[in-house]
Amino acid sequence: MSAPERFERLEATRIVAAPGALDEIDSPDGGRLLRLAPDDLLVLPPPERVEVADPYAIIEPEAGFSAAWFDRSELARLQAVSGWEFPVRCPEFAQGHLAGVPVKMLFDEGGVLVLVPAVLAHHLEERLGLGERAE
Amino acid sequence: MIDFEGTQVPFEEGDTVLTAVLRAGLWPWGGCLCSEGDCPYCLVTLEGVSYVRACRTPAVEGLKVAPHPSGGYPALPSSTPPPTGESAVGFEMVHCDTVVIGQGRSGRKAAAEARERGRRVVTLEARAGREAVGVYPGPEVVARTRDGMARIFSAEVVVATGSVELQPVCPGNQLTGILTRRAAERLAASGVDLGRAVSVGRPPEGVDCQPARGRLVRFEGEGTVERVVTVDDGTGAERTYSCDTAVVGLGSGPRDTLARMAHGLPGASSVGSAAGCLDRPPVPEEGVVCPCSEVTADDLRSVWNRGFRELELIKRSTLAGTGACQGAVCMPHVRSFVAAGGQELPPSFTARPVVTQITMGEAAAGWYHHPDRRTALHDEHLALGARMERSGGWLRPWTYEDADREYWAVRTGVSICDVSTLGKFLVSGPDADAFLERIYPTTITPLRPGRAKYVLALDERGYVFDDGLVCREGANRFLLTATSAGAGHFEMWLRDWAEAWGMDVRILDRTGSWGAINVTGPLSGELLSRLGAADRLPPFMGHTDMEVAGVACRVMRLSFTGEISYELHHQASRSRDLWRALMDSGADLYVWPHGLEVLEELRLEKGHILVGVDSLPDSTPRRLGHGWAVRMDKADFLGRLAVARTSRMELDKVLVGLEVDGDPPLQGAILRVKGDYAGFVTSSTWSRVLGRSVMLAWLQARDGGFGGDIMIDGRPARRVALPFYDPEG
Amino acid sequence: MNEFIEAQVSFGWEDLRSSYDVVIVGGGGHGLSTAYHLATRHGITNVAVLERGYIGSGNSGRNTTIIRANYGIPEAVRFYQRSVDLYSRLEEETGRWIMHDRKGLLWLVHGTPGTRHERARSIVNQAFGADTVYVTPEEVRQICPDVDLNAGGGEFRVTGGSYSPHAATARHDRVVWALAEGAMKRGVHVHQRAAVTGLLKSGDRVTGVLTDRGPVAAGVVVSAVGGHVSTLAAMAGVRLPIRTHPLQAFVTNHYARSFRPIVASAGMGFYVSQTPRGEMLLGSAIDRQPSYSYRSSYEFLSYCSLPAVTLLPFLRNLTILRQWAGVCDMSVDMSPIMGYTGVDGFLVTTGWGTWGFKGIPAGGEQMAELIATDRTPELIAPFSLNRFKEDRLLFDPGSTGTTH
Repeated sequence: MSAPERFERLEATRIVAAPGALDEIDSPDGGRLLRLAPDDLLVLPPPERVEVADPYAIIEPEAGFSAAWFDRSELARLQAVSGWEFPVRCPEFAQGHLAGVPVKMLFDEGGVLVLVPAVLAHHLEERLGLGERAE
Repeated sequence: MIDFEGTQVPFEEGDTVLTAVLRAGLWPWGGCLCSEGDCPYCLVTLEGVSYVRACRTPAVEGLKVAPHPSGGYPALPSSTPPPTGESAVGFEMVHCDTVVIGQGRSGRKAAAEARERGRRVVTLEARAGREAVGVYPGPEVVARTRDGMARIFSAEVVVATGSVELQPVCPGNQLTGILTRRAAERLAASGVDLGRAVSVGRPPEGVDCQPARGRLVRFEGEGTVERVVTVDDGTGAERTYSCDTAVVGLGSGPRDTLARMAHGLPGASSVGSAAGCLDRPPVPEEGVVCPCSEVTADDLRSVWNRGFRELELIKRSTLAGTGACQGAVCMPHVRSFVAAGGQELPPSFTARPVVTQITMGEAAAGWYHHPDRRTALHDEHLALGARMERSGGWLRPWTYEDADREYWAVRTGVSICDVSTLGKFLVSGPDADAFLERIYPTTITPLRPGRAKYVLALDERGYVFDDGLVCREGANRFLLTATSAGAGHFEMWLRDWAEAWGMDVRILDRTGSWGAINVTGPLSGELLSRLGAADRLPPFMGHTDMEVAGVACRVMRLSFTGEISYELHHQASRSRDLWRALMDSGADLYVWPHGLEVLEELRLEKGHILVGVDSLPDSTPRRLGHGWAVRMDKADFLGRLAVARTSRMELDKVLVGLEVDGDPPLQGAILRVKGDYAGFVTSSTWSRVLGRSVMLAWLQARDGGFGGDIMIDGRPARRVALPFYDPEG
Repeated sequence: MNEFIEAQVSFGWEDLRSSYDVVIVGGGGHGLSTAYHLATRHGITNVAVLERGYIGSGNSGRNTTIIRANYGIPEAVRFYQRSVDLYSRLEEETGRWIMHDRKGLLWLVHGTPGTRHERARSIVNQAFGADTVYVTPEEVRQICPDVDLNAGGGEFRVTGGSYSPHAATARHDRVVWALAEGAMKRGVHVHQRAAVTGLLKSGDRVTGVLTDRGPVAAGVVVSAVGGHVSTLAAMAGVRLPIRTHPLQAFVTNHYARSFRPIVASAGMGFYVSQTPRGEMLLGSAIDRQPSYSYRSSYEFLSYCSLPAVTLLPFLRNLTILRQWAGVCDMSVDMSPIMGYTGVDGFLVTTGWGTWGFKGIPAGGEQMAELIATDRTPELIAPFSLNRFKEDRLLFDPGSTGTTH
């Protein structure tokens, strides 16, 4: 089974801070930094503690996304419902729509991690036909 | 075999329906067949889809084909939904560098050159079942293939669609048995027996036929062409040639609909015959010019003589070129006609998609309804029997199908409501206070940590577009709330102004990340104390962070319902745990959730407005009766100039609270004063607790004031101060 | 012979003179209707209509031909009902077949808030002279059996709607031509391919127009321009609260006529009717991005087709013939602007957004009365440009979103 059955709510940490302060944050061991915007960072998984050189930084647990991992073999299927072209090199982070639903995608050697707003995850599951093939 | 109107027709590998039917000796179509998808003559109905071209349809076993009705149009299909869904039509989006439309000589060359340049090339060829539907800005090329629909995004589009042969315009041109030169060549090569063939103009190659000399004058015959008549322009003498099939080689023009559609789009070009010139046909004198709209040469002259002297006006007055072939047959002739009126050959009219007629089902493929958002508690609501309704882009519980139980739980016990949809935003930064002072029309700086304040959001015109709370978390940090429906716009609003003013603030939307449950009713404190929140509950308009049932919450004490209410903001991942704990622990308190329907009743009794329901797009705070939420002694805030200006004008309408005895008037019910229109009801409800109907309504000024007896639906209405319920709070 | 070929209207083109009492810029429905009513109602015929392209080449020839008065505010209901009434008499009055067809309009909703909204619409309509009624799902079924009341497997369940028996369609071009011919027969000059490039002024007063054929003096200049109205008004020093957005539509091939009403769903975002020739004509809301572009998009076909085949499944197998776009002058409050501009000698009729076709007869009639009497008629007084200064806007957001 290369396709996930469903999207699961993701645990992460969200940091909104001065761009310079976000630039200095190191990737945690085994974790990921997703730069959503110059002043907006998503850290996966949530780190024990994080230092941000901005006294006004907003550092919050993030429960607004659901995520699923798709193997490389699934990429063509995802690309066929995407109006933008996936990046060739990886790792690469991209944001856009899949099947009409806003997503964030982290491309890696083995495949892609798709993040979707949890409030819309059920639509993307349905539109990508997740779970159907397991039945 | 294919079934053609009950006749079994054999076919060979590679046959189109046209080829198979003609080879079988049937010739059910009048007019000059082109066999290339341009003319409107070989239309058939296939599997319930009309306007399909037989020359573009591969013959497959068991295919049921019905001819297009002769005279009149096909009937609309029946209203029974087909058994299959949208997914029945395949769909994909394709990304490449170059799209080449048409795979004739110039198209193949263009594709090969692009490949040599290292481009990823997608080619389309209608004959191979890959038909271009249209070229759109992007550039985007839409195609229909045997797998379904494809939207192709590229950097370059090369249109190489070749040429289209000119059709004959003369008496008899709608008889059966007429072919264009290329159609004759192709059909003869496929083994169609053309019988005695006579050609006019350039003769076909590889077809056994007799060339007629002179210029084509007319075709003669009963239903089927029997004679071709030509004239020698030198002598004026007519010659008649008997035939079974007439073949016309009258020249050609560019097949340039797609090229014209693509014209002006960056990255688009056309090559080969598609970019070539029209062999200008003679001015039509007699016969059908536009077969789709049955327009004759006489019709053209008639509208011309009555003043329709532009190509577009001729098209619009005769409807030439607006039928199934979109002018492929008639346009060269109509252009020639206009030019004969002393004008230059006018350009063809605007090329509009689509060039390949797709069904609406095909067009719908790959598209989705606007996605409704669901809170983390969606399944909980369904399990409790909720009826869900769309509201502000969300699916929300409208009622749990027992409004009495929902209502009295709030008024006499304890109830919970999923308010996760509220807009929630964190704002932090050295300019946070200054920023919010400019955003909101009320003072922010004096607000102490742990306290909240009701705020209006005004646009530059001084109109209320949203409302919510400002909660101070700390010296430079706030939580803002906005209405469920307005949250998306409000976030853009905040970000735009922060940027426009160069404010040093950070903004984070928490709407999707935080769930929110409102615990309301006289026993709400009791329920929360059972879940560990006993002595730390915040005062009215205060907020405190604490654990409830083991879930970290920001607890805010408010009252939208008219009862003591605690709004529990928490991580959406814990919504279900919190909801279930509240339901379980409150079982003996008869806790029961309420939906939007009862919430509407509760808030109305308390006189709270709903922005977007009770407000109008031009509601100033003064008109809404919310002048108290505006501090004009502040130096600046958004909308201040406009509010200052409009507040000097006479007040023309106000939102007021009204009561009537008996059933509530409908939303929209009209207020009358002395029989004249005086406004309308925005929200209304029967108040269970008050025993009468209460409502909010817009009341218009009369003679500079708001006096006079108000009637609604013939019943007297009383204007009352808000709130209707529990004015002492 | 095709019965739809225009076989009656006849135009008499004249040479451009150097001076007229009234110069109307824009030979679309509103400009020609103003000229027609000046000539027929007030005997004012020393009038020129200047059209940059051919008559009806702008939005008058690109709209979806719907005539209705089911608006949400009293001022609009009254005005459009006047237009509905004038339209129903236009064939008799002009002697020309505009293919006026009273079909009725079903405006469907899918949920309780929408149901409440349509009830409110029917109340204000009836109070101000339009015959809109609220209908239950069962009544919807009787009016249009093709509607799937459980659309989308219940996702778009029809919970009711409003029905406006007065709603009609008419052939857009023929309305333009009937008015043009009627005006020309009485001496009005209509000039095609006459582009206005500037305004003549004497002090603060507008005294005529500059055209690509030379200057033309005028007692009054009326802008009935669509699309680029802001540019022309700016020449007079008038700023209009208008932004221009594209609006798209498409038609299917021709089918035997059997689909009677106009059906719309604002919640699903489309509307559909069958034309006199049998095409199914579909439209949706304006494009969100302001633009003067006439380009179509494929996304439009998709986002219009999906809800349409969901609510009316029989549409699924119909083949799309042609799509196009027009541009809409959207005023801040989504209502038209008619009358004085504050600049002497310069009037406007503009902001016709997506409701221009509906307003052609009443808009022209009222503008003509204003020009002839130099007084703003009561019916259009609320629509003056002044309302933006006086904070008397005419917002009617629930009525203009979808059904044009």
